[in-house]
Amino acid sequence: MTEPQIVPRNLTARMGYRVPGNPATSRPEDAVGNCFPGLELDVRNLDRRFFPGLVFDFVARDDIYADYDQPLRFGARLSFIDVVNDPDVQGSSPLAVQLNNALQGDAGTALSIGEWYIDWIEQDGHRLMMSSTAADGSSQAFDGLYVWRIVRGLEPLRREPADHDHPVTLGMRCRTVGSAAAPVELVGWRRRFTDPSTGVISLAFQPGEMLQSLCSPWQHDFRDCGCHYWAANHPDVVTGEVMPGEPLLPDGSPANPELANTPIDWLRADRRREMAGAMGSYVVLNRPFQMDHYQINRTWQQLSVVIQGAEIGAVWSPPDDVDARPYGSAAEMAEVIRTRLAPTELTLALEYLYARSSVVDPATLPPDAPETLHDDAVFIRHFILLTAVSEMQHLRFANQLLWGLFDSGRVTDPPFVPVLAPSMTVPTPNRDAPWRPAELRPLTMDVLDDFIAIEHPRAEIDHSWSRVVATLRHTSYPAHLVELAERVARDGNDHYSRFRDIRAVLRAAYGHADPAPWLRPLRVATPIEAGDAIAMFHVILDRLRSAYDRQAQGHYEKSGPAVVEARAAMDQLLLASDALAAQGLGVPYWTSQ
Amino acid sequence: MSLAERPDVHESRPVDPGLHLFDSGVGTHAFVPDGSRVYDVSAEVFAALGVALRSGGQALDDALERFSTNGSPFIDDVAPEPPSLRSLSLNVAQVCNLGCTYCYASGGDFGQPAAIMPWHVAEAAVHTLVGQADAGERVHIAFLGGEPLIGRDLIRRTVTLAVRLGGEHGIRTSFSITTNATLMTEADVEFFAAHRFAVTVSIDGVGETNDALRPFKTGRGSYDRIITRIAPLLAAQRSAGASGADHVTVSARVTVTPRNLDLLATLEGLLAAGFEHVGFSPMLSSPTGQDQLAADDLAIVLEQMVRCGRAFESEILQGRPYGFANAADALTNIHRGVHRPYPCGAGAGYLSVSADGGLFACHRFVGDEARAMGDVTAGPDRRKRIAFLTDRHVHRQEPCSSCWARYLCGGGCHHEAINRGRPACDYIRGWLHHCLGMYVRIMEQRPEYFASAALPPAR
Repeated sequence: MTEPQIVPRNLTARMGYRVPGNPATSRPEDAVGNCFPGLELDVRNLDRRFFPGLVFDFVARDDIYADYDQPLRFGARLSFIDVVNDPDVQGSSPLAVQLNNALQGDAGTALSIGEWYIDWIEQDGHRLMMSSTAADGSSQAFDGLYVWRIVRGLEPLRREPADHDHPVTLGMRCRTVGSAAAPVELVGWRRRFTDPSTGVISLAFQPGEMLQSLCSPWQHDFRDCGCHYWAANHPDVVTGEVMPGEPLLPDGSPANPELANTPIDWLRADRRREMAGAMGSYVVLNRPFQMDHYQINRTWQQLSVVIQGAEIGAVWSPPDDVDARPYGSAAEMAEVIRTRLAPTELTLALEYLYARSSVVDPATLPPDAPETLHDDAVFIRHFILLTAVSEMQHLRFANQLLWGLFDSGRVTDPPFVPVLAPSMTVPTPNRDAPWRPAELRPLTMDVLDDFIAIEHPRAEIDHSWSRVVATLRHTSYPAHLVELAERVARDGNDHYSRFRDIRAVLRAAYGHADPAPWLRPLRVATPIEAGDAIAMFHVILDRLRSAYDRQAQGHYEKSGPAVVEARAAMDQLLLASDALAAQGLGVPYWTSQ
Repeated sequence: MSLAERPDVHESRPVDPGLHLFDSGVGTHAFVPDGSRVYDVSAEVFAALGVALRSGGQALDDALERFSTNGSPFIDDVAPEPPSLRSLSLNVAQVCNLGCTYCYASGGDFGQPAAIMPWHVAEAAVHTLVGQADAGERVHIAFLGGEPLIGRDLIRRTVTLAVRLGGEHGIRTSFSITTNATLMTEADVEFFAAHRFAVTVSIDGVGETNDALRPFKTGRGSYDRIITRIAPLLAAQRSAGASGADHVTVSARVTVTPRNLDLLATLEGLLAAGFEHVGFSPMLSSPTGQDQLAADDLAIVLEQMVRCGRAFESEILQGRPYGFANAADALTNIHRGVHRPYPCGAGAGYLSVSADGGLFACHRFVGDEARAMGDVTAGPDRRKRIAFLTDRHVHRQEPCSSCWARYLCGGGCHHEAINRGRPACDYIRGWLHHCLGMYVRIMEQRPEYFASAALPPAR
């Protein structure tokens, strides 16, 4: 092996060092531990070296409910003595010198022969035995994990000199059958695992030591891990691969809604396309159809790469960004968000809510209603509600972008004021009439087509959000802002897909039935008729205004009560609008009609 | 020899903001400013990097790729959100009994009518500082002036209040004072020790050297008086270690002007006088222009700093402590890879309180309305702090954006940069260049100097 040519020396260089041969995903910031802190290493590996110069194994039963039939096996077994590689034993304090001498002298010699276990631990005048006495007077050694818990409770060394700071005395006993070795006592201390000022791990730990005993991907763990550890690293639910030549929508998703919307099991054993059925809604249902142990060990390579939720078989190329030209300035972008995007998000949320209340209530269907109408109504109302809620989130993101731009100094004028008034026009895909008035309409097929057109990935709204994303990607903007805008842009695809699902369901079930069986009669109520609902609506706007104002000033914690009140009012508004709809009335969110 | 003619200044001149190469005498090295990372590189790689550095462009990009950390840069263009306040300095008395001609506070009054801080201001400041901290956090109060001991009673009341409030809310408190020591009493020393003060004594040399720069307003020298007055303090510093209870640390702060350029003599003299740490601060911008360093002076300062650094290195390599604070601080920063877009915490975690209760970006900006940051009653003005941090980000400073040392130096003292620009860049780079080499040499031969992780720990 040749001499390394670049060797990191100071702490940041060591921290940022990419070990040759290790993939990028081996870096801490790429780790699963970001989702499940603590699962990236086995902390027992720290405590194996709790006592300088000694390395233990915590020998435990595989099954803690199993009979305790081999008591001599369990406990903290001395694995080996490590004086030379342990920097802590090289210190110059009297205690370190004494420990070093003991380990290199008679005590170390004795401990090298036979099976040695910790018999007792003493600190600050308290001695704990690592065994209990059974009824017949025999000694019962504690399970290794029990001993480990006691070791974890030791006080670490805090300050110099070590001699005066919680020294630890270990009583070691040889359990080799027939051994006549006398017990050994060692005085030391509980090692500090990390440096108190830099956080750097003690040099006593060897490379790879923290990772031993962890699960392995590509083995049974990948399929069976009970705590869903690997679930963070592997997809559970995917959509099927789009084969070359199959029609696509402009956003790159398949035109065939079945392919686009059928969830399939990524771990399915039968990889044939025609066998890829919709997966069940919980683990047990899918287990029989997943790769079994021997399969995952042998054929894990057949598992597909997944990008944006869909399996990819061939080389993947990203779809073109749709004409995402950055805005000329932060001020221009802010103007668009303030005057067009934020108000439109609110208008759409309200149009969708109104349309939802025109759909029959599944709880009050007449006995002669079509057989599937109950389930369809549940489905439609739920999907529309999800989309309306999502639009309300977008309204908040739009406001957050505005105050973020102002806060970061990218926009100085005008100062941030919450945007909470709906737009009175909505963009259309029609070149001759690019704007239509905002309208409260029941969910007829035409209206549904209009919603689909609005949410189309190439429509005006998505286009504008793409431009916001392109603008915010520049490094001169705070990094978190672009994430908000990307979220809005991505959600647009979901909305589009949901409305198309609704249309597919309605067409399949009811064709062009007239009147549409999923609708109930509805007209826009007068403000007096809908007094309660309108009052609730204004409470929502008022509380959101207050919450945005506070959040814009950095007082997130103080905005909490207003947010909670706004949410409660949203629930009440939903109930009130359902009650009105039962009387044939829709909430007049605006009065221009 | 002028600065430009010095070989170390030549070697440390900025070629590219992404890389600096240096030879420590025990090896060849790359310093990567992004994250202030130090690498040993083989002679072959060193030569290749040198070629890439000179040719720039794609060749340099390719070379730097070898040091890529596979992520975004350690520091981006965006100013951080102002952190919660960690530290306040109280300008207890904007009046002074000395008449140092270069004083940034213009004789202690900051160019304004002299003022003593009233109690209600200090009280509000403590409430503001402790009020915004969470349990378990630490806050720091520094007492400055003028000469702060003129307001001794206020200091005592302030400390007592802060300790009480801190105790009630589980917030740890620490204190420091920067004083000319001429008014210090034994009772002061006891108080400082009881509250574990970090005491910084302003003193500009030994004997007449100090007296020429730091006279009383009558013109009489201050050195003898300082030495007499600090004797109990230095004794407390020495006795503290054994008992471990009351602890005071004492540093000498030397302002370097054209009239006290023999730094090695000053360093050794003040260490011999009993100071545990001695640090030098070059005077780059005085209100009157008097006694500030010119370019030729800076060549001498660099030469002297390097001499002090060699003395430090020699002692450390022999396992003996040597309190040259500039070197010790530089080594700690280099070892940890400290990288920051600011030279200090001004406007961020640190603000300064004027006698009338105004908050300012730092003690040197007291009275400067352009750097006002709210007041002690209403608390810090978040938007003004954001504006300050945005404006002062080192990526927005010139010629910093092209300099390899920008994240170690942070762009230099805001106050000096605003008032006098950046006349000392060659000096700063030359010194850091020397410290980089010193870092590698000490780490190679005395790694335990940095190995606080090895037993027993340093703290």
